[in-house]
Amino acid sequence: MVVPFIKGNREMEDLVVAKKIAQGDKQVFETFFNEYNLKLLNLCYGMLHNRAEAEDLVQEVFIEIFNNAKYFKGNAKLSTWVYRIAINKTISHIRKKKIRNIFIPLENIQVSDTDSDWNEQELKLKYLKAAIDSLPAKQRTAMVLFTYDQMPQKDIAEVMNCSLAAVEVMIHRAKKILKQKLETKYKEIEQ
Amino acid sequence: MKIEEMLMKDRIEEANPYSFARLEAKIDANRKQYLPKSFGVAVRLAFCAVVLLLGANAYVVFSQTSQIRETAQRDSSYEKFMSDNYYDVLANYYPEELFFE
Repeated sequence: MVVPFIKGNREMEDLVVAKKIAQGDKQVFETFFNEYNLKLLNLCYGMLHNRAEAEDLVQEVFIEIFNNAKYFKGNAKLSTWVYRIAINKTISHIRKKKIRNIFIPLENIQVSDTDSDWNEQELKLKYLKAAIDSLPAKQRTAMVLFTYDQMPQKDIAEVMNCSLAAVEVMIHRAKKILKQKLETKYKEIEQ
Repeated sequence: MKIEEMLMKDRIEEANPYSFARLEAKIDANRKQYLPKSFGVAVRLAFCAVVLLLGANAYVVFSQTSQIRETAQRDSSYEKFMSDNYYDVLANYYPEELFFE
């Protein structure tokens, strides 16, 4: 008798979870939701810098997962699949709403009278977020996954479908660009 | 403070406890409004068919109208000519000799 290809334990688990979600198993879906909600929330928040918007987007991601769980074939990890959906959704959300244009570019941010009420750390964070928004989409995604999601670089490579070396380069370049952009701004604040 | 440290401090540590209930409500609402994907495809196909039929109809109508107009013009001018010159035309067919026979 020919033994069919038997998937590994993790793959089987992922397939079972996806199948149960597709069948509408509420308990499994709730467990799955609790496992990924905060992670995806941090990913979306890191990309959008707006908690309310990030929460709405995470809900949309889960609805998409719920509707498309039947199509999950186990070719990648379930977590990878989930993150890919979230990243695509976030990037298309940014494109659709042209958030890039709504966000104030770093060069245009001036220390105003109202900013003087902010403490130094808050102001620095504000500039940092603006600088992250100005990064190219891939560098920004890698940086957010690395910092906000605290994802290992190996997993980032899997999610972004590229090599580990490419992720290392992306994060290194992103940090370099951020440092360059923030150097003068931070000096202004410290003065 | 390092960039990573600043961003790590900005992380969300706790999710909204009502978010799953909210999600469930949204999924239920979506189910109620559910339309099969084939419905969208069918609507698009129907729209394309209507546009094609409209185009074909317009083409046929215009081509027919111009043909009819041409024929009508030809017919009316022919009829006018015939009514004006009926006997002359007939006369051409009958040699004069026939009248004097």
